[in-house]
This record gives sequence, C-alpha cells and structure tokens, in this order.
Amino acid sequence: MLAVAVAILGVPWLSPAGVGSWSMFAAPVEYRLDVAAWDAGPVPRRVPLRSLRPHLGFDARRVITPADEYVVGETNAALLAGGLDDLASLVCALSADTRQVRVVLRRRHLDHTAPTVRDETHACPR
Amino acid sequence: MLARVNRLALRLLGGETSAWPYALIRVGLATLVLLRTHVVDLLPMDHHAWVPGWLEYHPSRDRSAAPALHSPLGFFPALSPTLTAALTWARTGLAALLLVGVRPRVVAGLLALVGYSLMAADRYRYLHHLHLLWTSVALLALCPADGRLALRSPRRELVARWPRQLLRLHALAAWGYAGLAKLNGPWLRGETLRDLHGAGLVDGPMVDAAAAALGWSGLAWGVALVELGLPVVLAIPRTRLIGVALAVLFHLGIETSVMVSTFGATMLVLTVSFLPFGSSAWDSPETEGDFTPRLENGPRADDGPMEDPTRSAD
Repeated sequence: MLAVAVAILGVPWLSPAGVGSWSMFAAPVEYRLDVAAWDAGPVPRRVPLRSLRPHLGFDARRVITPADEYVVGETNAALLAGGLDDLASLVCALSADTRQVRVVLRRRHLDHTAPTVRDETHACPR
Repeated sequence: MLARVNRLALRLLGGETSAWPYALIRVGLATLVLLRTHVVDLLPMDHHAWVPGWLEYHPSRDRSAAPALHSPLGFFPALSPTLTAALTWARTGLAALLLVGVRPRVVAGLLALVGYSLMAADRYRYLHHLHLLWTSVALLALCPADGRLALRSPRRELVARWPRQLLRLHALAAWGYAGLAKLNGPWLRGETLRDLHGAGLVDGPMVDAAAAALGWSGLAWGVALVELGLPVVLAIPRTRLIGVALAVLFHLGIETSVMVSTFGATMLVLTVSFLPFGSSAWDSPETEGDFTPRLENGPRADDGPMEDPTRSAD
C-alpha cells in the first residue's frame, strides 16, 4: 500500500515532463527533426521523414512524419528524444550502403525562443 | 514517534467504507476502455485535435513495411504484430469482463498489464490520458469487489477503505502536479495560454469569454489556482462536495476548450471516490481521536463510532 502511494507521488515528481508527468500544457514546445545519411561519398543526403512513413506504426507516423517542420507536441518531443537511436537504426536498415546517420532534434517554446538541440550520430553496423 | 506515524497511517488509510464508489469507478473505467478500443467500435472518439480519427494500434492500421521501426519505452520488448493483435483483442475482452464485474480484481490487473504492454511496446503510443487510464485500472486491482453492479449479488455493505484513499491520492496527485508545473513565469504571465490559443490548441467560447474577462494572465492564474486548490478542498471532508463540484466544472471547461481525449472523463470517474458514500466516519472531524482499527472481514475490536449511523460519511 505504501509502495503504491509512493509510486503515485514519486513517478510524476521524478518525471516533471514527458512520460509519466501531469504537467499538462504548462510548458508546450515545438519540435523539428532532421535526418541525414552518409552513403559512399563524403556528402550526406537528407532523409525526408515522409520516406520513413511505410516503416512506422500508426502513432509513430503522427509523431515523426510531420516533423520536417516545427510541430507542437511537448510529450511527442520527449518521446522522440528518447528514440533517436532507434530511428537512426531504421535509416541504417533501409539501405545497405548507408555508413552513418545523423539525427538532429530541435525543441523550442511556442514563442520561438532559441531551440535546444539534441544531435546524435549513429554508425551503421556493417 | 513510531506510534504517531502509526496513528496517522491508521487515520489516513484505516477503516471501512461503502462498496459503491469501487463499483461505480469500475464500471466507469471499463466503459472508457471499451469506448477507446478499436475492436469494439461503439463510439468514434477523436484523439487530440491534431490527430483526427482512431487512436493507436488497430491491428489492421498499424501494419508497417519491413524493416519496421522498433522503439519501445525503456527496456520493454517490441511485440510482434500477431501478439499485438492478440493483446488488442484481449484488452477489449478484459474490459468487457471488468464492466460486468467478473473477477474484477484479477481482470483489472490483467487489463492494466495488457494496456501498458501495448503502449510501452512502441514509445509513440504513449499518451497522458492512456497513462492515466491504465494507472487507474491498475489501482482497481487493489480495490475490493463485493458484487455490486456485477453479475453476482452484493455481499457486503462496507469494505476496506485504503484502496479508496489510493484512488483519491491518484486524482489529487494529477491535479496537484498539474498546478505545480504551472508555477512558472510564462504560464502565470498568460504567455503560454496565449500561445496555445494562437496555435489553435486552446479554443472555444468559454476560454474566449474567460480571457476577455480576466485577461490571459488572470485566466492562467485561475487555472493554476484551481489545480492547486482542488487537492486541498477535496482533502478536507467539510469542503469535499464543493471540491467535487469545482472538479466537474473545471473539467467541463477544459473539455470545451482543449482536446484531451478521455483525460477529463477519467478524472471525473476518479472524482466519484470523493462523493459521500458509505458510513465510515474516519474522515469526519468529530471522530478525531478514534483510531481503533477495524478488521476488513469482521467486527471492530470495540463497539465505537464506526457503527454510529449519525456519523457523517466520507
């Protein structure tokens, strides 16, 4: 009983935004996702997010596909931030020639303040 | 010190209460789950404004071409399409069993497990209203079931009170944390609400009228104060009914202004736990000092105010 009570109070305390939080529109953000892939040459190619659509589940489509441009979604941005590796792995798996994938997630408040950037580069397994 | 902690724990969690709130919350949550499932198309419910149509993982709509993205939450394993489809059907079946009260504690536990599994198998399925729904269903697994509003006959009028207190704590935590998160400059200055309104995420005649009357900052303060005030008003027995009315009005206001799917409905179902059912007097101020524990399945150790019909309800 005590453990349940602690969990009820503790989970949102430990996770003030994103999964498990009850922050409810308190600090909404926009997010944008850029994906680039390196094949044989030194110049990367941009990976349009809509090209990933057939390989995404129903909900991943609504979160990822429109993020070529800034879209609103505090929780979606938090979910994406935790799944950039998986997304990079998918891009690797889509082409045997891809050596490296770079995924950049930008988040900013609705007032268009400077975005915070999460930039990850993922080497594809050969 | 230990004795004081023990007395406080007994005061907060001990005693018995009516079986009615448990039955009503069970029926309410099971109904919500059934309405949200895709297998039984009882009522088309839009998700948030930017996602029209059905929600997650309908077996026929969630199919993706190989190689598919696998991105579970945490260390949860990705589930195969076949298992996902089976769990989706199981979820609907379990919700139906919960609705009619067949082994409700076991069924609620399984339903919460299946619901969370489906959600956690793909991080992008996570939604706050689903998290609230599955957490609430999981708490039902701890609640006594006496057969009320179920296929079998009611057996007991009074049942353990501590699960009801956990349901209350669950609702109070949601309101309280939502209010605490709004204690920031942009929110209290009304900038966040104005931006949300500009983005079309907060809209409707009620919010327009309130913003015109109070200004965005006044409205933002009002929302934060209601969210912070609800746990206080609902925690005090004397003001509890006022709190229930405030909660209903607050969520009706949100429903007309923001697309939050089943969040408001789930909160209103949880609000049932604050209604004055039953005859437990332990929440009543006039019984302060009476901390004699009552056995869950038997009479109390002494004949005391718990049996007094003049005592106020919780």
